[in-house]
Amino acid sequence: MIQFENVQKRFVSKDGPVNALDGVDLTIEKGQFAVIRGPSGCGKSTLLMTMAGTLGPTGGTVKIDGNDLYAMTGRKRNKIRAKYFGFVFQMFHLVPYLNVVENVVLAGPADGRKADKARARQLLEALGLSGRMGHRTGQLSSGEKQRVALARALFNEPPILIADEPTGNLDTENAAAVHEHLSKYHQQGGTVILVTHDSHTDVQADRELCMEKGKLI
Amino acid sequence: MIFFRLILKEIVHRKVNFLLSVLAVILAVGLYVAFTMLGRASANETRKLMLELGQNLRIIPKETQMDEFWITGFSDVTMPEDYVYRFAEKSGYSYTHLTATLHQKIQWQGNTVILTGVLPEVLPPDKSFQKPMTFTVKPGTAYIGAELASSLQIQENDDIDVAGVPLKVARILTFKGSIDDIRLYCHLHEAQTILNLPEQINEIKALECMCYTATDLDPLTAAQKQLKDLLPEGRVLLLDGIAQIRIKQRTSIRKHMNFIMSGTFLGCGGVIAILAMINVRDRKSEIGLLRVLGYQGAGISLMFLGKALVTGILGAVIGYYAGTQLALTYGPEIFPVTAKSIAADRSLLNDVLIWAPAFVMIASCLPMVFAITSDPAVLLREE
Repeated sequence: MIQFENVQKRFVSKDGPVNALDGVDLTIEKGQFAVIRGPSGCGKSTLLMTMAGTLGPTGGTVKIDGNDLYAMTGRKRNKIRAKYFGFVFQMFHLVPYLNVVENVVLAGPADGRKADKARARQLLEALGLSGRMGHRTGQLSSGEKQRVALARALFNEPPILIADEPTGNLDTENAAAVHEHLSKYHQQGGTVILVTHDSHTDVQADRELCMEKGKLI
Repeated sequence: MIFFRLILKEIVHRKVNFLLSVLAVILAVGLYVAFTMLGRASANETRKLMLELGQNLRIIPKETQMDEFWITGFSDVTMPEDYVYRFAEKSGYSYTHLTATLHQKIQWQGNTVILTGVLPEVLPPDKSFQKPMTFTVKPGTAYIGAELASSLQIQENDDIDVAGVPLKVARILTFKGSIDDIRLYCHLHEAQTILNLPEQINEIKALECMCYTATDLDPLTAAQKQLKDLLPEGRVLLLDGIAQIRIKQRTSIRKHMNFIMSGTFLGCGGVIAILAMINVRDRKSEIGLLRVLGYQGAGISLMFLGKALVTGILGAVIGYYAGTQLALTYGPEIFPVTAKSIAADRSLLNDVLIWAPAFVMIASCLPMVFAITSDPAVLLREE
């Protein structure tokens, strides 16, 4: 389903060029729960963002269902991203001037869907946020924010969920809750690709990958 | 629709940035409107005040050979002395100083002399105690130019005879370094006798003349038109000193206004551009998120341009009314002569409704284009 062929990504930093991805070959099948572990700065997030079509590689090809993501136009890549991927970030990336429900439905129109608030409420209830729907994101705890982000990621029922350090800013209890929701999504047939720098993160993944200095080991 | 809602919600959320941007537009538009209105009032005021200073007219005989006139400084033909009285009595025309002269080049005691007969100033009826602008030569007296007096060794109180007319030298004039140094001034009627040109003159000078007839014609054409029937043998010229001052004054005002307007636009434009940039920079993460979610760059651009449009339109409308009010409040005090002509100008509203939103949109464009062409992941990382 997702295929990396000799993918490279080079940055130029103050200290010189950095090979964030150094010839990565990887295939992730539909329905897999893949965890990518590695120390900070090893290229995990770069791998994830390149996979989702949000960061162009310097070399190699990234394919999704056989379509080369970076050979297509930006417009088509945006559509693929809206259709295939849901995103959960460490920093949540919620829109501060929208309330909880509005943040969740924000994902809909990008995929040509209606901003269905009823569905958003349903998702939020399932994530234990029924009492927070009209709140602004600034009034939420970190755990609640991440659950809002998770609801937004699931709103379009994407086949793939990209989670970049989703528990990095959460306490153990909230982290466990997020992992539980990710597992539930996986059990319903979704593909999860989770990145974490924490080797102790306890998730029931069916594939574990390790990165170091831009390479999968 | 979603973008419209996002625009409104973002405006409410970032009130300070929005209000500052609108304020900058209000300031720029307000000053533009006020300065434009006051600028026009100022130009009208100056024009009217300058007109109130009046025109300085030279009336010479119609048949004058102009090339000779410009060389010698006086006409070689004459016109009736009566013209000066007709001019004085003309209704619809006022003047401050009115004189008639008769100039001729003569040979006297072996010297070339410019004999100038001067009629005492004809005073306006309402200014009978006004101090004359030029000296008055009493009958039986003469004023002698310095060069002429020196050449003929003439001194004050000497008795002289000019073509059978006895005159007493009342004054030796100081050196002027001009044709006046060889001039012999006497009363007009004595000059007419000397030259055998009874009741003839060859120049009328009317200073600070004002025509009370409303006309759109330039001052010279208006004067020529008005005096055509009154003085059929006369030709009207305009002394150019005042005209030059008027042109300089108008140019100076225009430059002054241009400077103020440029400074205003530059200052307010800079503030708007900086605020637009700050807004886009603050929203990089939001742009990144929208792009990650799959929104197209064009849609995201619409969101920013829409906000710029709202900012520009709001600022333009408020600025227009604020500027108009400013001009209407202070304009009549500053420009009392043209106070009644200071009025709101709707065409200025049309102007600012176009350029103010356009300017804010242009100011937002550069950071916005940068944001929507960057990789979404890069924008998210910058938070």
